[in-house]
Amino acid sequence: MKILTRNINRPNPAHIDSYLVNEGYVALPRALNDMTPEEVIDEVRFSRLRGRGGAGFPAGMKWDFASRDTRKPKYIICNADEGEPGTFKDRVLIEKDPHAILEGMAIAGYAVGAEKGFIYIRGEYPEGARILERAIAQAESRSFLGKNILNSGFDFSVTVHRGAGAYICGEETALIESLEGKRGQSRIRPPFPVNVGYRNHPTVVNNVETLASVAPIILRGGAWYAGIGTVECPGTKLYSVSGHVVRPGVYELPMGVTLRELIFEHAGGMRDNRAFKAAFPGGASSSCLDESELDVRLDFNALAAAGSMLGSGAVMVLDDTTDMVKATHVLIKFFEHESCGKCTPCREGLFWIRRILDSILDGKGTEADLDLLLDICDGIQSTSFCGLGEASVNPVVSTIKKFRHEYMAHIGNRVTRRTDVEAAS
Amino acid sequence: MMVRLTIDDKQIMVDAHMNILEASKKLGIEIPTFCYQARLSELGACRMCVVEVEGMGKLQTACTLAVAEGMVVQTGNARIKKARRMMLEFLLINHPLECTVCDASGECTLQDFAFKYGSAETRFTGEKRVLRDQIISPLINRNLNRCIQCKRCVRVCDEIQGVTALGMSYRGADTIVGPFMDKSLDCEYCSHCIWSCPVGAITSRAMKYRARTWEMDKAEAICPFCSCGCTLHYNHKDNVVHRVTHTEGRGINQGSLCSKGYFGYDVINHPERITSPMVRNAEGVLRTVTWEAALTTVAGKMGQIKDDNGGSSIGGIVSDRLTNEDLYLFQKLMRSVYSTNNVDTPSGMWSRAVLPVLEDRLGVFAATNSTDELNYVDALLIVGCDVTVSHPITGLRVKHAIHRGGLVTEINPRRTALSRLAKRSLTVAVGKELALVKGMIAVIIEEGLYDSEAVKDYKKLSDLEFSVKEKDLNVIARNTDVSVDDIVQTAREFAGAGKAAIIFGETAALHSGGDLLINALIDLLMLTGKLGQEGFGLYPVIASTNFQGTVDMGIAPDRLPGHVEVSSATERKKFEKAWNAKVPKDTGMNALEMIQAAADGNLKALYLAGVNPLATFPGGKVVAEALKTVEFLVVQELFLTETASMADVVLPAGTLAEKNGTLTSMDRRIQRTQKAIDSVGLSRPDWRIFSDLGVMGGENGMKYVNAAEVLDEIAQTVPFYSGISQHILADNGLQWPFSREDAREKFHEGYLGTRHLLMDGVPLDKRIFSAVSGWDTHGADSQYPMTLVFEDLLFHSGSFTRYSESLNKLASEATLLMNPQTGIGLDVPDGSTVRTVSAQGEVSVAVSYSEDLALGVLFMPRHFANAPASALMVPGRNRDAETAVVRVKVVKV
Amino acid sequence: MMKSTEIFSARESKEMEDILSRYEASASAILPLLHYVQSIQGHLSEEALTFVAEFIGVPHVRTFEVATYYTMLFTEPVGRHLVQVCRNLSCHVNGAENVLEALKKELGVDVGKTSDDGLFTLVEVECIGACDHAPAVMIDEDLHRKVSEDSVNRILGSYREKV
Repeated sequence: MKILTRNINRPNPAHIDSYLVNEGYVALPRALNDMTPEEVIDEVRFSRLRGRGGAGFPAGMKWDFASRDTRKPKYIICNADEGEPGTFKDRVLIEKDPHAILEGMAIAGYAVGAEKGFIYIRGEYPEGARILERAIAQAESRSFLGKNILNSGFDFSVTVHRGAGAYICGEETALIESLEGKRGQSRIRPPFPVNVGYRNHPTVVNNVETLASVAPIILRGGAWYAGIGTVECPGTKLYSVSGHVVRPGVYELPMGVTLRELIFEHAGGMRDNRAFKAAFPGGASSSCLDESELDVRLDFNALAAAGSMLGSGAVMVLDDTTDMVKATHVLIKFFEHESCGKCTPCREGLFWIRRILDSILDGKGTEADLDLLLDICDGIQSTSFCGLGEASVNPVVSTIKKFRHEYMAHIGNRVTRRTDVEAAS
Repeated sequence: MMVRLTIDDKQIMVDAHMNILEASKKLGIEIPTFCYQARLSELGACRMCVVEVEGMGKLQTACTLAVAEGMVVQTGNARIKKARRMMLEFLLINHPLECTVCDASGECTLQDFAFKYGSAETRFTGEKRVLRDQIISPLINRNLNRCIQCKRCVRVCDEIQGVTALGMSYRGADTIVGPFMDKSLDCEYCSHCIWSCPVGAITSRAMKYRARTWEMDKAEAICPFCSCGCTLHYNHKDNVVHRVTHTEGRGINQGSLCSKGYFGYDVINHPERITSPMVRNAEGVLRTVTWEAALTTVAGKMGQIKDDNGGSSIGGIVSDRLTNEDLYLFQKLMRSVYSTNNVDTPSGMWSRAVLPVLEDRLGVFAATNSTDELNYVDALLIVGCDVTVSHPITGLRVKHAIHRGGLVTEINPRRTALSRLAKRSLTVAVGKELALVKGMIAVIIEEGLYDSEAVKDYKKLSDLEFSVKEKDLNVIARNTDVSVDDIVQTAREFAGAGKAAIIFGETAALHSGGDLLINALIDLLMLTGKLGQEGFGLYPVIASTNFQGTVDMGIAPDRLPGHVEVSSATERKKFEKAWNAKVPKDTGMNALEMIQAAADGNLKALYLAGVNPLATFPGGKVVAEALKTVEFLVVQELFLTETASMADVVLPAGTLAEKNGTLTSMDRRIQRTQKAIDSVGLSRPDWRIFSDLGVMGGENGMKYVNAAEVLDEIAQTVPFYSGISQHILADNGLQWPFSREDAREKFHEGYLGTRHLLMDGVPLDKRIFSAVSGWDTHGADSQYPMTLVFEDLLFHSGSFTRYSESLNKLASEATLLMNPQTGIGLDVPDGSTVRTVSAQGEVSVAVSYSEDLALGVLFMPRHFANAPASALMVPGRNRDAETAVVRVKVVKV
Repeated sequence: MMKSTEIFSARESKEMEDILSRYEASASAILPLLHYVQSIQGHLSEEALTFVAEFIGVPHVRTFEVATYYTMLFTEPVGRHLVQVCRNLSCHVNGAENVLEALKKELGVDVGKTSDDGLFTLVEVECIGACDHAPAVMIDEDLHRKVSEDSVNRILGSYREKV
């Protein structure tokens, strides 16, 4: 089923003419001419579209909150700061179907009463930023963006804003801080951006994939969309599959596909016919799944029930050659590097975890270190300021739980640290 | 709205805006926190204050969570204790355990919390992160490894001080606190970062390794450096003041201090303090003598001169930094023992320029309103001063008002630290301010923006209207180099503001037409009805610490204590009765007249207490002549200044840290200052010296055991100080006038006296507009075409601070500031030496170009030895003297 | 304040005015301005950070705070080309470490350092969203997919030729 990826295999897909061929910019005039903003919001609510950035918050509800706030101006921000390791699905949409995003933004703007949109795109996607800017120019030239869109009286303009390398800016309040010209660090919530966002005004922040889903929903109706995927998690999802699979790439599938189906039916199975060992189904922030969990459905609820999370749908697949302790070390170094430094547990705790993993990989760990790691993880998880810290420990906790023997292989039988032994001898 | 919630099984009703942390505090429950401070924006970063809230799965930070109806909160269960222990363990991973040498040890929050909430063992075994650090300033030390990233210093610098010199740089575990490019600190050295730091990451270099925090005793005193009247703590050990600390929640300043208040204490135990009396011997050399010998010499010589030439041949000039008790006894000594009204103080120049206008127009003798009311003004005009420099803590009030959205307009010949923050900064040459103010009045009348209710019983409104209509706004705009729009907007904002006030300073008042300008400012306040209520009023500001005390205590040739006139027989009689002595009836000489008379040989004895006319009085030559010529010169001082070294007798006096007494702030608040250390060397408090001399002069009414006895007498002789005592002043001080009964019964409940004057409005007989004529108050002089403004510096006030080694590290030399456009004809490069010449004399000083100045206006600090202001200031009687604003020309060397 | 014309060409000044004009709140223009100035000057010098701060009217320390926060902004000089090797998991399990070692050897520098000829600065970066073509290396704004130890030499060569 191709909804989000319907246009990506066309020649010159990013050009507005390619987009227009396949019902491009049909939803926008329909919303503007035939629907009230409330009706647009209702349609999105009926679709039960859930935010594709990771949290899975119902998009229609977000729009509704923002539309009810009477303060002007309001803003639509497209969150294109795709930074979760293993995720590259937004890059595909940005590069291959930018107008779908712009159309979704314009509809969102109409629905909530915003006249200004920003696309906050990660700095590492310079080509994507150029493509979006070209697309904006094309859309403006055809009156799909700008003043008095299609003579409807509705104004909506979009500015592309490049990030500069900070994973945390994918978190919506950090993104807003960054857009305001500050260090991108999360804000205290509540208040939420729908009321107090960019420049303290009502702001809707939606993921690229979420916004790209909007035009099809308006065209075919919320009920149609709600019928796809699972009841709790309708629609299709873009899964970014990477790691030890034959065909890494982005796959659009109805929500609820199992991990096994994704790997073996779509991504060509395990590379070199090696055995599956584990997968992080929602990027670096998710808990890993092992072989016994291959039949878990990859949607928000099923993965949460399995103790992991869907996140942005970044499925990193690892085969039996993988050292899970090293893999965890890579992910923790990532989080340590990306910790913004604002709150104590995330800043200091990740530093500490990384040091312990260093020492385990260095052959100096002890079994007691594993308990200490879990205690530190608990401390970080229960007190961190934002989701980064909270989720950062998932790989550690899940790999200790599921692959403790691999840690023990590094540790050996030591109960005290080698340094202590050396000092004693 | 109030809500009811339960914290640790106790119920409480609190305001709905309150957070859990504050609500718990009300119940006496301590929730530990590092990053939270009520005065700062909320951050929620340290995570130390986590609590458990029923129905919320995650732990919540008490500092960021607002209370809500029915909320049930636990602040100390096992889960929370574990989280706190973990937080401390996290912080201590990288915090160096060098408490043994850390200046914060003993008052370190991390130390205290680790003791109270932490664990005895640490599970971290690796090497601590060591961050590269470097010296960021001469007075403020930063230690990055100790920093716990609470961001209090960064927030206080930005949100309270408005300087934004500190920031958080880099990311994650590498995050550091520091200045731009992590180089040197370019700031006001206000010390708030030191104060706000909960650990030893930001400390005072001046204090480093001097004493442990717990070894020092604290004495609550009033800051000696300006008339804000800030409360501070002198921390002392072994009779040495080792540091000053902030007094959280106390006094006018509520703890805030400025660079002078915080770092300037090193004058107290300065090695060059005079420690014993000296008398010039037959060979003309100053020799150390006993107090007995010195006082006998003074008493004998004064008595002889009085007998031979009459009291009018004796004069005394006293510092405006001294306590009310000192000042009162000084004038009593001069009047009742030496029979002279030749009594004055350096700020007498200011008093004579400003007070007669205030008295005439409003019937007041001081600023009408309290400085803390400035926090909440909606509009403010600041004319001819930089209040952030002359009165840094009052400046904070202005910054606070701006932070709240108050519309501040600055009218000054140069841009200031406020310019960047204020709504608008109008850089206007000296003398052009009047035109601007009249332009504003014209707009207000024209647009009907005046307070018609307030002005209905005023006389001469039509005169006012006529006086401002003579010139078109466009002409005013052209002449002042300010846009019509700025004039109109300023006028509208001021008239339309709920609360609006005016501050003016020396540049405005102390130039030839300054009185016209003050009158116009009063007209503006009257017209818009901005008098007699909280948040309204007029604030004349001069740095001199106890300037108001000198006014109240009768340090003037024509006024007795209590603002009453010497010429009044009734008033004289009152004092004669109280003092049991004659009070001379003729108005005396002011300071400048005394200097002239001494130079002419007509004044035989001059008593200088804490003043250094050679450095700070106009006319360097005539002052030197006067000091040389006068038959008997007594100098009572802390240091052997250029003036003291010419004295016949030198009497060593003490600093504020060495005596008890009271001071009166610029907003009439009489406050108690307490002795921290015993007198340095053989020095004595000033009041004691005056008292001893009085007794030796045969006046038993001059005998006092302590300063409190002097205050008792002030309480009996000065009506609006009536009933005052050190006891009553213990808590907050009192703003005169006050109710005796309320003061006695409610002083400990926060009774402050009169917050603002003119509560019943402007007196009926004074409801008249002055409608001043003229537009330019500082006419051109073809010979001296430029205007030199002497400025206070943020780091120095008066010649006193020159003895602070710390402050000298921040600034110790004068340069001449000039707009490069002004300097075009001069054609000299930045930094080269030029001659600055006035009608009085000249100095050679390096020029420094700055576009912040109005054309034709120059700025120079007044108190550095390399460019003594006294050489340029032009002496004269009252208004024709040029002390703050001098006409000069600048010549290429 | 420094005038833009003192350090930038007329075209560059115009571009910066354009960037500023895109935002209602001038502070929002910090990142795009820093990106732009870095693209001209290679890194963000003290003068550049001072200029940008004054250009948009914020305290100087603000631009320093921002410039040091984001990994793509450099306050120290870097080589003409920035070689960014992804070190995250998908690239890691596909041999990113070997690619990094090959680059270190080829350039004769450690991570974070600039080659002696001043042409290349080698850095490790987190996921650059090219996991489907791991291991990935980004040189300046060019993405190189499925890089191997053997292709390192050829890739660097193409940049050397540009000089």
